[in-house]
Amino acid sequence: MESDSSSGLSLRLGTLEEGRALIGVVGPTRPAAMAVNAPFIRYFCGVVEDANPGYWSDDFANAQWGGVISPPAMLHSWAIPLPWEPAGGQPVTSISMQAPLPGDKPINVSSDAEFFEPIRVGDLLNYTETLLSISEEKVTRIGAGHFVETALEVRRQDGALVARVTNVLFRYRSPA
Amino acid sequence: MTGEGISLGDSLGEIVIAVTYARVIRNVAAGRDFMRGHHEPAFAREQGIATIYVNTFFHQALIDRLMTDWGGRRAFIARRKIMMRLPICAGDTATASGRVVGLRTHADGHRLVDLEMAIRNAAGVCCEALGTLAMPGEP
Repeated sequence: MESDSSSGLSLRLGTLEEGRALIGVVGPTRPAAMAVNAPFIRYFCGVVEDANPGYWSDDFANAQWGGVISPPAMLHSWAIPLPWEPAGGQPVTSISMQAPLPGDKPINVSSDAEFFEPIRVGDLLNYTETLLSISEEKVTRIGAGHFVETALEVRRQDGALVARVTNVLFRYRSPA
Repeated sequence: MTGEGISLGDSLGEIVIAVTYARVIRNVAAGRDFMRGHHEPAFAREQGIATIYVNTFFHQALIDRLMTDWGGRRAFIARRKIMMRLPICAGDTATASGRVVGLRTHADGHRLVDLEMAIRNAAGVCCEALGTLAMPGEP
């Protein structure tokens, strides 16, 4: 099956029928690329200048949350594979990119996340995704494509469910 | 803040951030999202967007900061939904704001505060968001 990496992400190309054949399929559980860690948390928080002491103060975070916590917005970031590994790591992307579809470009449309437990430094998260639906072709101002809805469950190494996310991504082709 | 003294319609205040090229690239590096539209102007233009634009993580991070800057360091983000409307590009100024739209009590007794938020640039609303904070305090 053809794949396309021109967007910087690995997208599998195919027909709507091929994509829809995966609806309801639960993808493999993928471990995070790294354990939740404070240096990455603090670099990330600097981007929007978030001074929440849950991210910055060991003393406060230990007392309040049982450890420095991950900003909720980093939930997906921990899962992104390292860009290079000595043994040639496999680029793994979301099921919304792996579903065969005509669209070679992705743009995210919406994300609805629920959080059940604080995510703490040291946690090793596991990600399990399910393809929920793929729309008929829709024409938008940026091009024609399909809206892909996925559900994600994120569990800690001890199995506790820490977050659940429903995401909609638009897979499209720019007008020629 | 514990959830006492909060009223429907209360403003969450405002966060204004200059989205410089450096900040867009710092966001790419920090979140490790190397989709090309976030770091290659030519690719963004191919997507019909003026130049590189911030990713979903940035929108989420700014909304999360708005929620906890207002709710306090002991507030827990129990839910946050974002709906993208327009890209926020390098060179833009992003302004996040919002208000209280619901007050509830969780089954465990914690106060829950529902929030409606948005991020705007000069072109209009870039992101609409809904959120729920679980407020601290004994249930």
